[in-house]
Amino acid sequence: MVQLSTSDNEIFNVDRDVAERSVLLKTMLDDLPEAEENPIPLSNVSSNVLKKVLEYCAHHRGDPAPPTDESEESRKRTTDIGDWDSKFINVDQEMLFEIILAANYLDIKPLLDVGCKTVANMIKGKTPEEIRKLFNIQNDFTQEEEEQIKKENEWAEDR
Amino acid sequence: MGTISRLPDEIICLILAQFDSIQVAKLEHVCKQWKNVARSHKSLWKDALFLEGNRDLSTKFVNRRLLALTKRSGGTLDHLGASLDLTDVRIDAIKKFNDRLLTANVQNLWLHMEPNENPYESWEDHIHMGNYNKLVTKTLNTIAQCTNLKSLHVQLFGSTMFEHDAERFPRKLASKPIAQCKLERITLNGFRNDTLFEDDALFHMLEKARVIEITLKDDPVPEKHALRLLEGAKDTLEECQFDILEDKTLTRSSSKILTLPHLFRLYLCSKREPGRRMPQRSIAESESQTEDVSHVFSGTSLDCPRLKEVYLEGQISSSLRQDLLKDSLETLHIDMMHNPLLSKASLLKNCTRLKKLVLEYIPYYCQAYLEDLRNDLSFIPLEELILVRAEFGKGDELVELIKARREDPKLTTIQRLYLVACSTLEPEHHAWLSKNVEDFQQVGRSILSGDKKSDPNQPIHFYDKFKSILHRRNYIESPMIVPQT
Repeated sequence: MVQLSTSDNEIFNVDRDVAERSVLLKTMLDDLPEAEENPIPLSNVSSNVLKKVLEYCAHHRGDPAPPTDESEESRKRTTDIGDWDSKFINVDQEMLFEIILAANYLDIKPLLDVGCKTVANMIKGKTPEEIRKLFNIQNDFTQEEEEQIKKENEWAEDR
Repeated sequence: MGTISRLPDEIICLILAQFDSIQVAKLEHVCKQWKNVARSHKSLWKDALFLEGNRDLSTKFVNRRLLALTKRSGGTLDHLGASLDLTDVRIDAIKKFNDRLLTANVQNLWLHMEPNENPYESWEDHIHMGNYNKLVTKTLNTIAQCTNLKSLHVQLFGSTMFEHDAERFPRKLASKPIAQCKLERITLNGFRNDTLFEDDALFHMLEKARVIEITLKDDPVPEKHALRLLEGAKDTLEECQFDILEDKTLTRSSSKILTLPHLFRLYLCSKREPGRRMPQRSIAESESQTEDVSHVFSGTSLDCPRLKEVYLEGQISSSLRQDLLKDSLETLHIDMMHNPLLSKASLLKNCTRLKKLVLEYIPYYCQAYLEDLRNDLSFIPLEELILVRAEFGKGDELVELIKARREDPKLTTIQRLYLVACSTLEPEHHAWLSKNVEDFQQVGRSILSGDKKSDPNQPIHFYDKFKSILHRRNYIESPMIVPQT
């Protein structure tokens, strides 16, 4: 058992193999034997997000280790989002971004990947204006800057 | 609010990486953060794919995109895929394309150069054909100047109409920069291959190859070259497809064993007389004719412990068939035209894991084979059966076969049955199959030359990697095909 302490000071008791889905935790547990005795502070992750992340880790506890090489190829070869994963990641935007940030911090590549793909799915087929509206993004370009990008990216436009 | 803006640049980059470079350019318009992330990550611009659905992209258009992406990627493209319609292209546009191809330092090149229109119909005057050949020859010369290639796929029209100036690689390949490339993948379709084998360059280039495909129906690879390629890449080869020309002058020793430990997909087509498909008179007759004749690879025994998928067409020796039809096999596709020996049930006896069987060309005089098939398959966990050009009577045999499997609890149920360009079934048989087979389709002859996507007989090509990149664009609608290794 491993103890994890969240930013809002909640303690989670987790099986070691579940915790080790996180490369960050795995490295800590491997390098610091005493980490097993004291709660590991995760000051960037709140309890409601960690709960969700641990749910993912528990479901994928038996998965084979992700390929270690971080080459372009292995990234591209990733497949579609699985059924369980797509249900799991069906959350509101706020939680989705929290999960992505936590996965990034805890270094859980497959979860980070699922998160980024989900965002990509939301973006797909939308115009820049629709994307801004969807994510509440400020259009911070001036008129001139917008003209400039348009000119620079003319080659990418459909005929 | 503005929660997505809380994501650091590295994560925005990961999200943008889900899109291909053309879409990344469009996503730059969203906000400054996205634009800055896009511009500062060369990796987002490494793929220049102008394929899928863009068949009519003009070369001029391709040229513009290629130039822009070469700049943004920092001068090295991972992938360049282009389908050039050469029906009406001007020589200066192709010249420009070639210049840009050289400066792009591309690693994985995928080029289709085919006339959009069928030249047999609309190119009756040789001027156009001559123009096509000029454009292709120019491009092949440029490819020979590439120094950074890891994989090369070139598909040409492959006309044998104008022998004298057909498409071929430049002579003396060994003296060209490309000879320094160690290729992981090569697929050449529609070539004249004589210049390829003039020196040893290609053999050296392919010593570590994982995929080799050299096919042109009317100009097969001489057997000795094919064997040498196999031997050279034996430690790495995973997928292989050849049209082979049997070499009758080859001395056949029967002791040689060639082990290909990683090979999982093998397509072989062997035609003794290139370009001609002579139907056999009958099974008995053809057996007596061919059994005692040596066939392609008959002096070499192939040992492929991981072989999963086999396609055989033409005259394949019985010993080679025995080498290949074994218990690791999951998919088998046989063109029966020159393989009538399949009717010997013993041939499938070792395929105890076969899931998919495609049989092509079962002529009327082989009708009885459909009955035999029931016995052949009685110990095989078959799930898919695809018959192409099978001339069965009224379909009784077929319905019997499916019924028998359903009734026997020891046997797997056939879930997919495709009949492609087969003779029509009696209406009640058709109805029974529609009702009782999960995925039953009967499609006409036209599908063979028409819509390739729905053609179950389409040979698999070896660019799963490309496919997966192409599918990134549409990965929600169409799940990717992951190669089974």
